[in-house]
Amino acid sequence: MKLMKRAWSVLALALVSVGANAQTGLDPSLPTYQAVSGVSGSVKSMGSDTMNNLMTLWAEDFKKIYPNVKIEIEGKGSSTAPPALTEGIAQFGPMSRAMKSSEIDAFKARHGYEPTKLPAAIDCLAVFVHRDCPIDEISIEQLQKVFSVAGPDMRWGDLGVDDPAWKSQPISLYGRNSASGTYGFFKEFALGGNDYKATVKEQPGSSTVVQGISTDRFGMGYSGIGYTAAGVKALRVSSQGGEAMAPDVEHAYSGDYPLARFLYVYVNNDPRKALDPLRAEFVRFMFSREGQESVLKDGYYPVTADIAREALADAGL
Amino acid sequence: MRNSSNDPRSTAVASVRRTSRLVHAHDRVATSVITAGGLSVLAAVLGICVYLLASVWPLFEGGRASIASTAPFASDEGVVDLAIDDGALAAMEVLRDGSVRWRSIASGRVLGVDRLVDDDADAAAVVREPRLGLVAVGLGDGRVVLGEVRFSERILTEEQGAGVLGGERSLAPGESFEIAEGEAGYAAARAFTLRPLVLARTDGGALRLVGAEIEAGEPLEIGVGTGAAARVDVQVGPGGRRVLAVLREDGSGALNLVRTTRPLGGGAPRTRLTSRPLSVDVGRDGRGLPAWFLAGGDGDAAFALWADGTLERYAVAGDAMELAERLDVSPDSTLRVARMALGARTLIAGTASGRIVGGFVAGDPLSNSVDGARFVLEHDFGVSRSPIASIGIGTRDRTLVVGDDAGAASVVHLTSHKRVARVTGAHAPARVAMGGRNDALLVVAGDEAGLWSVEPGHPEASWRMLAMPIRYEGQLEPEFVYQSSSGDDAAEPKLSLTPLVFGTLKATLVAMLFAVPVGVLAAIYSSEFLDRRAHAIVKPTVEMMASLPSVVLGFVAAMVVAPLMSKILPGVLLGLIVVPLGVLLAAHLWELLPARVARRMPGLWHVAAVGAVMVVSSLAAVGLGSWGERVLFRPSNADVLVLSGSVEPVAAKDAPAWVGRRDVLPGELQRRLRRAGMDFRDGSVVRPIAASDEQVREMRAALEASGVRAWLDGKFGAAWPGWFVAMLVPGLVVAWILRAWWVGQGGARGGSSTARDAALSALASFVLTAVGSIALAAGVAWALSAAGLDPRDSIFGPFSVRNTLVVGLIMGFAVVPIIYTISEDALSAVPHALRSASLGAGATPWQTAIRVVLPVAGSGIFSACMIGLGRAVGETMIVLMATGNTPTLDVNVFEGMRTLSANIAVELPEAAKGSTHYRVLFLCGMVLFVMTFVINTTAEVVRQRFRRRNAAL
Repeated sequence: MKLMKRAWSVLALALVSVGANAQTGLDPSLPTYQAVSGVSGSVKSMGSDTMNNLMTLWAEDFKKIYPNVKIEIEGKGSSTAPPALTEGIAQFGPMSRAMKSSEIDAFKARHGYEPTKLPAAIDCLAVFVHRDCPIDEISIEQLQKVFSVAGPDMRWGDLGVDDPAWKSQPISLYGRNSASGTYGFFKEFALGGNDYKATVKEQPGSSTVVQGISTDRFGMGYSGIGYTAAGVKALRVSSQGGEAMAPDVEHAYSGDYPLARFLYVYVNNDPRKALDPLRAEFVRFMFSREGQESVLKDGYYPVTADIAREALADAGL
Repeated sequence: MRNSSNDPRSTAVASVRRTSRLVHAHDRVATSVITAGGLSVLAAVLGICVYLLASVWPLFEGGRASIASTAPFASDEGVVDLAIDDGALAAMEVLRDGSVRWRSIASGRVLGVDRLVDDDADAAAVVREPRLGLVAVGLGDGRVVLGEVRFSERILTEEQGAGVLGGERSLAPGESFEIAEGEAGYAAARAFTLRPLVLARTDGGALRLVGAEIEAGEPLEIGVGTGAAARVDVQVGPGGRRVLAVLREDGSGALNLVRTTRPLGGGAPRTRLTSRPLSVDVGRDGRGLPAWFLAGGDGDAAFALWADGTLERYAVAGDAMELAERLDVSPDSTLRVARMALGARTLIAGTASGRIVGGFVAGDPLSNSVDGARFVLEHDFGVSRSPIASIGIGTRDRTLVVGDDAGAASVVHLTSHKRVARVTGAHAPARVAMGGRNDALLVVAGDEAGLWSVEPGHPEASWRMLAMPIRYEGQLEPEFVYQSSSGDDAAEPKLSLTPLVFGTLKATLVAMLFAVPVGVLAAIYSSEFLDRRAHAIVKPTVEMMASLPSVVLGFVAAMVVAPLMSKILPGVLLGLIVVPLGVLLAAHLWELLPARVARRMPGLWHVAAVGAVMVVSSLAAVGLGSWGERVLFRPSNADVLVLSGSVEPVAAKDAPAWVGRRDVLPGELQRRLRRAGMDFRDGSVVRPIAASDEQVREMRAALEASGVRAWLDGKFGAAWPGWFVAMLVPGLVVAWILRAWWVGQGGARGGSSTARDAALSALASFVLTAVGSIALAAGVAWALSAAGLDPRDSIFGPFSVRNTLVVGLIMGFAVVPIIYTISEDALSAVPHALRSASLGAGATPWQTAIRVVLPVAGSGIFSACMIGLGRAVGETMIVLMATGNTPTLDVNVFEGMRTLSANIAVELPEAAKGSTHYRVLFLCGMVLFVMTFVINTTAEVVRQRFRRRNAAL
């Protein structure tokens, strides 16, 4: 049989230039949300803590349009989404990482098809330090040493801090609990798959991570950029000897910020049937201009109209 | 009873009869209700036990395999890799000539063949990576073709299915329809997938189309060496990085690391390629090319492996790869097959003696290799009596399937070495493949293929994994690690319960050390000495403390106590001795007051005065703390020189060998180095340069107060001050016991004439004892540090804001009311006759309390402590919020911990029902249950003995 020979881009292409014009605000071609009639009922969302506020914002705005709708939101961590979707406890599963194959397996074993993955927002997983901290940037290689078992116990001096008040102080590490998608993402992309040090203080939520760092001068931790607070600052991050990139919308869109990621909402979408009106409208709302405005409001970055179109098509809308 | 008859006898008889009937009825009802209640409690407890056991039991069971179907598979020497789709409908055979052959598993029929390279190109080496299906084909001209071959799956609607089936046919659940190239339905099914294979109706009624996606790129130049690309390997590493290893016939090759960045805002993915050349000495001993040339998934290692077991590891050295070490991985037997395990960090090989050997690279500061690491040969376990013929990789966890020359296949878990199942086929070398979900197994031996359905059970759980130290991937030494989940299937599960049990015991111990003395002493004070009016206020207040939700306490601990303690740490440590001494001192001074004044003080004021003394002495402790910190934890002159950077490097030959090559030296080793007159700074061994006293003074002034936290971090200082602080409280206790013993021996019998003289002599004795206790602490501290012990190796260590001491204090606070209130009740229940007798015989209230009341109330106080202990063991929210939940095995009280109960609370929501993780959490629950059961039973036994002893009273 004659094969289609697509260029397997990996080795053939090296260093294509950065996507021409990274935009910063809302994509103007995102559709405005058009309300329809006859939407009512109740849905439950269970999953990511990173996306908890975002889901709440969406739900509130959605309820303004459809007062008869009840939306319940629980955000204990991304890993709680797959069991909830599989067991039918929740209809939406917000996740800050992609599902693992084993989680997809469990869903498939129950429903016969895979869950539908909708990239609904863009986040820069930020590395936070206390606002008085003398450093402003860090490399992925340093992060791996600081947080993972691949490195020794680190002090601030090991990151090149010369201030005598900081130099000999150990870095006090804050992280998320293992149910968190942020935990999994950081482990995979910042720590090269290595285990966390046992001394990383596991916090049940992103806000407690930020809170912990703001009360611990020598603290360092990670969480979604949407949780930025007054007492902390987000570091610029570099990888492979490159320039350190700020966790902002420009570097998230261009992919230059090494810890940029999609935030997903998973839905149980039977490919043989259309989504029921309530879930269909909620998905449409998430990917509308109004929905993506909420993303901006919560401190994350909106998806482009192309991604929104693709996601809607995946959901059969 | 109410009758008005004035005949007392008849009334008595009547009332006895009537009452007795009623009482009997009540009795019967009560008996049955109580029996029913008791039995149902027993049943509930037993039910919980049985449920826990039933949930945990499957962890320790093996898996099962049963034959599902067999089909003829023509034997073929040219197959290099075998894979099956998730539903076990189609098989893929990757052939040595660079093509892929598709078969139906049900019938064994060949459905088609796809070539990955041009028809005229000759393939010298072919390899397929199991996770993403990456393939690499080394060509005779030295170029390499990269591609991807993997199964795809689509659920079709009924109309779409009918289009493929061609109208007439229909499929019943469980039936399948093979779509061979060029036959019926092929063209229609091409609309859904590039290479349609089988359409099947699942048991659930859905139509599932299994097909394949095939991509292959143009041949790529490697740029080094000559001859065919005789060995290739491609692997996927963390974060989706791809690694391609190529070795050409002349022994030169390259390791290529490809990282892809996907712009999230849209646009083409950007890739970055790092290529590092290397050269394998193929002429050495005439051994020729290695039999296998494998790539490490991190992109920093390449492994050349010969059939005789010789392994050469190549590591990154600048822009090239260099030989890092050479070792023999299988001294006894030749190797038959080798590949990378899931995650591409562990290399595994099957030997001719039926064993699986394997290992990984671990950083070793004492290694002399280019990258300061060495290959750790961790796995070596027997799988079969026949030589190993093939190894298949499960893509969901570390499960392997191993085929042998006798046609048998064993499913084993690499980390736990647990054998899940073993199946046998025709007596011929077996080719094996594991289904995507680890639930199907294809064994091709001779001319027959057997499809087995596998119930893998929980291969990653075994006693060894749960209780023993294990050397996980990348670790130099075996350790107890609990890290239950990760964002990726390739990670090794680490399920040691040891750190959790340890954390539970640690938190409980610290809390009880605080709560038992405070609770019991408070109970004695309030029952025996406290003014009745004050008692009426104090007791309910303390009992109200018990009703504070523990989540509130946890919140306070995390938000208020922890940051406060990190600010006034020396004060907190000193407070442990200053506050009790202050109160005692105040008591002695009170005795010096004229009796007139002392008696006129109302009870409530008495309480207030004690409170005021405690506040004042706490403040004094904080004040003394910063002074004590400056005096005790003062860097020596040599420390000042090192901290100020006045050092010279020590030549490598003079530095101790155990320092090795490190960026950062662990505190313990640094102290060892310091004892040898050297130190460690910025990655090298240094020695302080001597300076004049004047210069040292200046440097010391320039350093900010380093304080106890810097001492805890091990930056400077001797062991003595730490031991001294740790020994203060034990010293105090021992000194008072000695004093009491001395008084008991009659040593204090001098006979003072007036109360004032008696008070003065008591004060003198108190001061002597206090000084003695401090001297005792200093002496023990000196002895311990002279013995070469350092508290920073055990009970002390680097300070973490959310630590065991905070949890101990706050959990103690939660337990104190329980211990207090039950002890108080026990003390109050002691008959007053005993007290009166004792007082009347001339004993003081203190002597009465300690020698008469306390022994009688002993069993009650013991129960109080045990109930408090039970509460502390099971306490969840305080630990959850006030510690970092760090599952460490560290006795350091300034480090946090993770308890069993907090672990269950944190992780249960994420555990999929029935998964290994879920069952391990139930196991945590069972361990907790057993622990409390043992504590309560011991408590009850001890209490009964107390009670029997006191029954005489």
